[in-house]
Amino acid sequence: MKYQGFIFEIRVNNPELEKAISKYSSFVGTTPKDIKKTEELFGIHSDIRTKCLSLYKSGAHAEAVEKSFKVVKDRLRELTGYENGSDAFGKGKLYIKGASAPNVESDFNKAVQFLMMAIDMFRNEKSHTSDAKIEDPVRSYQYLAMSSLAMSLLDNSMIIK
Amino acid sequence: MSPEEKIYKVLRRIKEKVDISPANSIVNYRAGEEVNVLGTEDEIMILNKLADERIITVVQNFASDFI
Repeated sequence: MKYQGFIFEIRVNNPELEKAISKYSSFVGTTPKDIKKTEELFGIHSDIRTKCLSLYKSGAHAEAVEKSFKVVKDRLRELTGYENGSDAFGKGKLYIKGASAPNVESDFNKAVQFLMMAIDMFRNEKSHTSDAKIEDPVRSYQYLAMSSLAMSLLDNSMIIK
Repeated sequence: MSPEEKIYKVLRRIKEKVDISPANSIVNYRAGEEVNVLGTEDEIMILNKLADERIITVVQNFASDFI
C-alpha cells in the first residue's frame, strides 16, 4: 500500500466519484436517486445562510464562522439590548421557550445561556488573530451549525416582564 | 459486509464531505473515524484503492497529528 497513515488530505475527482457511487450502489441495492444531496439538507438557519453562505462557498471559512457568531450577537442585542449570553439572560431577562418538560425549564434555559456564552468566547478567541485556524470546511460547517442552533432557539424566546 | 459495500460506505462519506465543501477544496479524511462499521485498516486500504483508480488524489498522508 502506498499510503499507510490514517490521516488523509484528499482532492476528489467529482465525475469519477459519481461514477464509482453509481457502480457500487448496485451492490447495496441503492440507486443514486435515493441519495439526497447534503446541500438540500443544509439545515442552517436562514439568517446565517443569507449572511455567511457566500463566504463559506468561496472558501473563507474563518470569516464565515466569525460572521455567524456576529449574527447571533446581533440577534441577542435586538432581543434584549445586551450582546453577550450572561447579560441577555440576567439583566435582559431573556427566556427561551420549548423545554421538554416544565420541571426542566431552568436547565434548558441555562443550557441555552451557556451556548450563547460559548459562542461569545469562540468569537473572542477567533477575532484575536487573522488566522483563525479554520481551514477544514467540515469543521467550519460544524461551527455554523452551532450558530444555527443558537439562532433557532432564539426564534422561540420571550422577555420576562 | 462485502468489500463492495465497504467501498460504497467510504464513497458515500467522501461525497458527504465534498457536498459541503467549496469546489476543488482539500478534504480531510481520518481513516478509522469516519465510518462506524469500518476499521482503520479497511478504510486505509479502500482509500489506497480509490487513489489508484484516480477517484481521489492524496495530497498529504500522515500517521499522527503531531509531526
